[in-house]
Amino acid sequence: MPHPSGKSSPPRMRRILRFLLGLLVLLPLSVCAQEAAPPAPSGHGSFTAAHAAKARTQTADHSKFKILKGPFKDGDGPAVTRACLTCHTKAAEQFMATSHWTWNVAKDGKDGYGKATALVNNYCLTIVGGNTEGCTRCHAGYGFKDKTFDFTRQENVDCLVCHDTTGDYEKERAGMPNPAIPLAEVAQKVGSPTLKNCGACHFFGGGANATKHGDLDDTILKAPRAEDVHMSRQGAGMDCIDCHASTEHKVGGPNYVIPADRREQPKFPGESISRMSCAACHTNAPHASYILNRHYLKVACQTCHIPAFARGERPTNTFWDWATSGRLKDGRPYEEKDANGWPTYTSMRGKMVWERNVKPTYIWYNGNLKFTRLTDPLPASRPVVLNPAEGSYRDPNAKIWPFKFHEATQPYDPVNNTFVAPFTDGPPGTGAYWGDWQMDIAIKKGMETAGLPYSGKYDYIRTTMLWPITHMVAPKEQVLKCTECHARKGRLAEVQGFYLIGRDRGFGVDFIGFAVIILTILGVGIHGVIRYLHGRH
Amino acid sequence: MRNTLKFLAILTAITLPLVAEGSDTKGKYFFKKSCKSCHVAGAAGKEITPLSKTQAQWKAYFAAGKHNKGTEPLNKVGKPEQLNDIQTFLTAHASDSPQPMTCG
Repeated sequence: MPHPSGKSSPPRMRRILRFLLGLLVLLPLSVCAQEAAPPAPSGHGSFTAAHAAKARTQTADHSKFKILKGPFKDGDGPAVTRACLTCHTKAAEQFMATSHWTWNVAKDGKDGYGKATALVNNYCLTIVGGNTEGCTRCHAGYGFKDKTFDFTRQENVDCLVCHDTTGDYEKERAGMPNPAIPLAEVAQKVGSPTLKNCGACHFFGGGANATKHGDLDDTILKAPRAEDVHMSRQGAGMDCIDCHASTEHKVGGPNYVIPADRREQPKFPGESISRMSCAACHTNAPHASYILNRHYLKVACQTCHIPAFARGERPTNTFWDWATSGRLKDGRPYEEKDANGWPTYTSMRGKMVWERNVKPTYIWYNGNLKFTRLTDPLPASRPVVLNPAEGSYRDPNAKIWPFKFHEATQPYDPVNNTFVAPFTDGPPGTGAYWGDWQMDIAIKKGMETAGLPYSGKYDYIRTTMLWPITHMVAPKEQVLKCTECHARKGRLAEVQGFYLIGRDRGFGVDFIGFAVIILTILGVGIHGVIRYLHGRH
Repeated sequence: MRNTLKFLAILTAITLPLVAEGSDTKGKYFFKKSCKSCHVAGAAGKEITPLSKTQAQWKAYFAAGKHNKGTEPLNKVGKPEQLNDIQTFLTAHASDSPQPMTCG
């Protein structure tokens, strides 16, 4: 109905006035609301809230203790430990019972499953061939130079490497603190371990940043939420120990001796399910869909929720070729780098491959990796898998897990059929590989130090290792789609032992399906022909 | 005579720390703490490692004592004894040294 414009103006004016008044009231309110609102938390909790809560739990201000004021001599770590032990009288004793200290564990009644003993890996190979002093930068103790190290001396325990909160603490050869560190200042500001403390060693496994694991490197310290929803400061802001719960200085973690059972099994008194498992927080039925929840029985959460590893800025090492190491230019070691600055060749280590956003390898896994020691005969498989995963579809404890698949070549003794322990880390003139560049001499020296037999002959062999992927969990928007696995050539194409919908075909089902289609066509065809012949359309 | 002795004592006190050989290990620590805050790949100062220069070049650099392309004195970015340690570290692991080093 048309209105004469003159008549409608008073109500319209009123409406406009009311609108403007409303705006006047609402605007300041909305500005206030914006100022007062906390930064939108993405996911559960926030970094700031989590850390404020942690700071409150401390009941002692260590700067008030006279004994921690020192003064401590440059690099005198043991003196600091003695000071700590005056109050924390049982701390060293507790710590000495853990694998962080012994670097040696027994498994299935056999000794030697640890870094300090006979374990072989794909990276710096072994430490017992005389490389202890360099490798023990990462030992939570002081003075671990060789096998004469006194594992019973309490002052040798390094409290600060795990409890430093300043970020100023650093370890050098044999695990001694750098003499430049202001020890008293560090000692007065101790606290619970954070990402940085654990990361000081665990981000640098394999000899350098991002080398060993693929899902742990120092980019996590500044990661956006998309890289790791748990540890990112924009995500939940969690620390390692929030999941790797500890008791009596024993940090929960799947080390070499994890029993052949599900990781979810409780590890510590009071747990109904291991704190380290996803289900401890998320329950074992976290999806709205029944079908997705059923996957929990046979598929690890990590398999769908970590679509790729090394998703930070740093690539992870996927190939290490010892067989090509030791080339020199004008008698000197050299390095070659790719366009991004990552080493593609170093004289010390040989050819290397670094990759980002790597698709995991999927394998049945019940929590048990079977490691290889220097004293074990070489497994028959070629390439040699140094730590094959145990599990199958029929194993009730096994699930499909994502792994980083690492390849390497390394020296071995073809006569004794064992791996060898070359002496790598030493200056020229000592016989060390990185000083004199002679692998045969380095192996001879190393095996002497390790007290193991060596035939005098060596060759290179291809070895592979598996590293379970469990960190760098992606936001739910990036989770794998069903068809990534339920497809003819999907991610699980190689995982054997069961029927996977969408991937596998069964003769019976296919036969019945095709038969129904063919019979239908035939039926319709014959019916049509009969009707046509009878002239009744 | 007494004045001369005093003068000599003061002179030694001042010059000793400068002349004394710094600590390689301490130098690595200070190099990481001070220099590496700007001198990393992608940052304003561009990456610098011990390998960036030869032993002679590092010695010449510290003798000149200039920082930021000669625009400011080097002791603006570190205490003299720390710079001494850093020089020892960089020289000991320079590109033509017996133990060249990329880290730091």
